[in-house]
Amino acid sequence: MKKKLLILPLMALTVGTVTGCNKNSVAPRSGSSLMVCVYDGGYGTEWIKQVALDYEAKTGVHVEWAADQNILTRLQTDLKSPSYDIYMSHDISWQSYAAQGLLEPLDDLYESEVEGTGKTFKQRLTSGAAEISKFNDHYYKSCYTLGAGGFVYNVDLFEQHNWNIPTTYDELTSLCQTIVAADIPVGAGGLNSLVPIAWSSTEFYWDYPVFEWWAQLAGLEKIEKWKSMQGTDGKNSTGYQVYDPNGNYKEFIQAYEMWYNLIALNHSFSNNNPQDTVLNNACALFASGQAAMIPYAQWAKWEIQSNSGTQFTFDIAMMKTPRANSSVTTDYNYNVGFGDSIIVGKNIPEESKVMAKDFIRYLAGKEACKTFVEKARGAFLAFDYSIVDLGDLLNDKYIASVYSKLTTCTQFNLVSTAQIAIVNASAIMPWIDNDYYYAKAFAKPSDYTPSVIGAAIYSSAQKSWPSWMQRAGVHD
Amino acid sequence: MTRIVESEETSQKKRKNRRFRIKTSSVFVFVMLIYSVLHFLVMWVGVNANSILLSFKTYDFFTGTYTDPSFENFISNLKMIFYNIDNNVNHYKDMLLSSLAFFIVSCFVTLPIALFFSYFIFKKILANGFFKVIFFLPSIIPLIILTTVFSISVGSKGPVGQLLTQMGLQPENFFIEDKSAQWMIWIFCVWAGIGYDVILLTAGMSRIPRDILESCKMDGVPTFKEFLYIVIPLTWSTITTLFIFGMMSVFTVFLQPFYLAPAAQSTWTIGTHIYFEARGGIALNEPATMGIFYSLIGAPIIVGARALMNRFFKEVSY
Repeated sequence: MKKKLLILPLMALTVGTVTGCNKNSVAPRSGSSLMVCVYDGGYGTEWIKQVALDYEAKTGVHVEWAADQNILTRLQTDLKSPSYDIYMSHDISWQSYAAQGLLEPLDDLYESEVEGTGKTFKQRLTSGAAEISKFNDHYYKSCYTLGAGGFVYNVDLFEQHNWNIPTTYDELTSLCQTIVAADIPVGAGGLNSLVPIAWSSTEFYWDYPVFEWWAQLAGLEKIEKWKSMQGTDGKNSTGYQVYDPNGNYKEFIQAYEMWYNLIALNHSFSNNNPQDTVLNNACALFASGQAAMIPYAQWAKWEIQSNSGTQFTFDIAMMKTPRANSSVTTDYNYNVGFGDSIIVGKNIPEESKVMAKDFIRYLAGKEACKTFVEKARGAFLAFDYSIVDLGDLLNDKYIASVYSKLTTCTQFNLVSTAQIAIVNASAIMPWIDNDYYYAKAFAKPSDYTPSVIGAAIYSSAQKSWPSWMQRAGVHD
Repeated sequence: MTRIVESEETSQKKRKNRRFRIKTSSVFVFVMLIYSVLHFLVMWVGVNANSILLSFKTYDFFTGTYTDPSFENFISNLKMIFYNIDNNVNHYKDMLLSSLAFFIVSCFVTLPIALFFSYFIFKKILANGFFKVIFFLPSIIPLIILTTVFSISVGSKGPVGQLLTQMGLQPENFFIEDKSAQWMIWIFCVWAGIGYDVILLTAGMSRIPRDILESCKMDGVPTFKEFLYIVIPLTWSTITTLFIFGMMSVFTVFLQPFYLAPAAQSTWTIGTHIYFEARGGIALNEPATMGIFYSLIGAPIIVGARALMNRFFKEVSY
């Protein structure tokens, strides 16, 4: 009898312990605490740590922050009873959350003045950011970062061997041939040869230079046409025509062909078996000086060092993507991650909403903008940096090169506000159904020629279009 | 007289004690079972009921709401599935073929191999204990670790991969191309799935009466005939159960393709697709309808298969 009575409280204790075991549990809010959750990725956490400290010093509001790689898997559930006041990440389905009434409208934030700038928050945002943040006539998010992508290169190596930064595609090809021919010994004991470009099975990093070649060849008008997801007759039902490899998508396939000719048909230009190499290993090759270049985006400096476990002993920089041919006269920068978001939950205390908006407004200020660049090692927030004095930060060649891409190139992004694209975001992208071909084409070039890929993408888009329209509730 | 009174008092006391014991036992059993019952009601009955209801709804992305359930919605959802399969939207047709292939792999490759190995473990070949551990290890190691170890080992930098390279193969492409990735997933599933079957089959075989096996030995029955005519019939119920599990693998295999070959979406199964479509948390009517549709087709087939298999050999008690 005593044993049976003992079992019951033991059971209760066990159940209580197991259900209480949640490493993501957040300390209860006090009146003067702001809770911020950032995606734990390529920007690191030093920036949010510093910004939180600076914000507290300025306002007296304590910022409890957390970095979580799994936030996206539980965000929808979390927003119903938010553990945090602010969430910052990529791939947030913010329109869906806004439709469900889970997000706080930020209209008042957008109209408020950012201290020390003489401008409203909306005016502080980089061009195009406000437009893609509106849903059902209200602002429900702020853009997070202003991205840059392309070829990151080893500055010291280039200077040591007197290699010029390639400004055209032909020069890039020639440079790769030169590097291969030079057969420069690298690595432990000099047993390896320097490779022109290191990349990995995280193949979508190739998108950054490829998309810029697309922009160079097609011009922004065609890219905006693609983003509209409407056919040549202006109808939604024929929107798949934007993927026509003989029409609107011709230049995209040409850009892929440029990659194909450079990499798929020239295995010596890449590290050994990149399709079977994890990202960390490709980063390690570059960080240890065994590769001259690596396709990456603005988070390169922080992430490569973090992934490889190696601190750079040489300068790196991001080059402007070499021009496709002599008729190209404009340099473009693809705003990687332009669709990333900062959101505020609706179901948080009113005083927390006020603090959250004030914190986001603080991010738009000069101090926070500069801190982000410094601590994220060369990434930029989605604000106008023309009034931000980066000063000594520009002595860092990498930061200076990214800044150059952001300020001297024509910016573009691929964030479509078409209803069909918003709902089918993972399927409707330059690579239909998220089917990438870089690794496959490297493995078997003959099966993934540009003409084959162009036809496959168009066929896939055409067949899937009615299904996607139904899903999105789109009609003509 | 006193003795009779005492006896009545004693029996009354005994009855009272018994009633009290029954009462406390009932409370104890109730408390022990309540969590399991509630769990079943919520996580099985509730979830499945909600899934069925969801399949009769459609989702409006821009209001974030589901429509009221109706038969027209169910038909509309079904039509979308048929359309997607017909046109291979999001690899739906590939998904179907990939899933069906696991029936062949589980029932006609893994199970026979497991049966073969089980018999020799049962016959206590040299180091049979060691083989038991080796076969069962994949069943207890988490899938993510198992798939990572497998892909690294077989990849170009792994020990198996380097051996394969020496043989003129290209292991660096095994998990990249859709066709080779599919084969690698099947090989993985056979390798990882044998252990579970072996454990159950050896347990089934160990129940065979010793005197039957001894009489086979005395009669000079060859090993192969003993296996075919004695062991298989006497473990038929276990084999049937494993065959049914194998049929269910059409629906239950879902993470292996994603972990091993995330880029090769044509290798994804029904379960993989349902998992990823439901993970987004919106438009759950679509994965719900898919689940209901395939369950309505699969359940009678599996039940029918079980009945058919039970006809081969009569149930033997021993």
